[in-house]
Amino acid sequence: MKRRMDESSDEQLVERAQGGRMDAFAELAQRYQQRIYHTIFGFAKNHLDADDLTQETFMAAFKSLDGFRGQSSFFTWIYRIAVNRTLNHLKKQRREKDREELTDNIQLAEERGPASRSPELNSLAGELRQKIEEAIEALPLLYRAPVQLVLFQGLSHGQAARLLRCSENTVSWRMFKARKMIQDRMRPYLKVEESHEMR
Amino acid sequence: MRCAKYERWISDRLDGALSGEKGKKLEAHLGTCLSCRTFSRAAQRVQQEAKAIPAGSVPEGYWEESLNRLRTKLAALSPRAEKKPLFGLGWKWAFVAAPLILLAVAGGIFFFPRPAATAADYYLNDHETLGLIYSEISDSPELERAFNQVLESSIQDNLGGEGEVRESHLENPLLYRVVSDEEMAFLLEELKKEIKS
Repeated sequence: MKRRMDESSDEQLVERAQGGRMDAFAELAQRYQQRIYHTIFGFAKNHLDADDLTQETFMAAFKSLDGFRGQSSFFTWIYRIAVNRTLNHLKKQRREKDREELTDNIQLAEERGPASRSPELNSLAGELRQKIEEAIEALPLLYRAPVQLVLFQGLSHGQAARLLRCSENTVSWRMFKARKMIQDRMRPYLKVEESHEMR
Repeated sequence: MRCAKYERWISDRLDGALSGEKGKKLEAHLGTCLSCRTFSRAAQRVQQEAKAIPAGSVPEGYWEESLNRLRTKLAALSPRAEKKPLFGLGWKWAFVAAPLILLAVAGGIFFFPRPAATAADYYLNDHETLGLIYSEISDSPELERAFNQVLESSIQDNLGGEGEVRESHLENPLLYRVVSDEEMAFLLEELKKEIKS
């Protein structure tokens, strides 16, 4: 039986799950839990929230499975649920948490001298990566969302636009603005790296 | 101002969203503009490093544990299977389906003699049922025509397109195949109420 489940297509599993077979839905969850988790983690940036939201996503999907009509793939459908729930979660958190973090990050960046932390190019690259991560996290959610979807998840502007319920042009614009903001924040680090490369 | 447009194109190109024509124009511009080349190089560097950021690692055994937790939560929900009986879908469905089934019942039984032991409990009085339906729809020739078509197709279904009543049709009339005794009793009770009201 287990083997039969493994071999079933998503469509077959969805049909069985809609007919009340929880093992079929559990198989779907097993197939996609890692991708959903990593997508959520990309936004939430902490394991506990990613874990909670992943569970919530699958529970919400199960509860509304009757409404799934197969117009998109199961993964696209559940992915949309995951992103929407995560964005809602982050919006709720934003007022208290994100603003504090943003302020802290800016202060931290101002306090730290980029050259003093890691003189070697290799460690500089590692630090650069960390700083980029921080810069992305510090972006307002409006810009962070398309960055997560397009840059990290590899979605097209069109796909991201549908998830975020905006136009492709808006995604394009937000990606551009996000890159400008990240580069502004990263300028000291990028310059240091350039000077190392020129030596 | 002019460079802002090209910077946006640089961003689009990194996302794979720049058309070929714009791409050529961008290349030509980059050949002459140091500022845009700098922006492009920095954007590429950020992109490259961002993509190399490792995905969040999870504790060992997490996926299995997470799945088990999900299974437990799913099991705690009222099972979907319990709401699956054909006529257990709620009143909205019943109101939509009742007239159709009524027509099918009426069509099926009106033209077929049935074994007395089962028929007595299952069917409304044929003449009364059809009489009620026709009296309800007599003001509308369209409805009457549609009803006649439904009756006709119901009969054809029973005949299997063969044009004559066979023994197998009598043993296995239309609704016997899909409706349990309990469901049929329930359905008929509800139909009676509908007709009375």
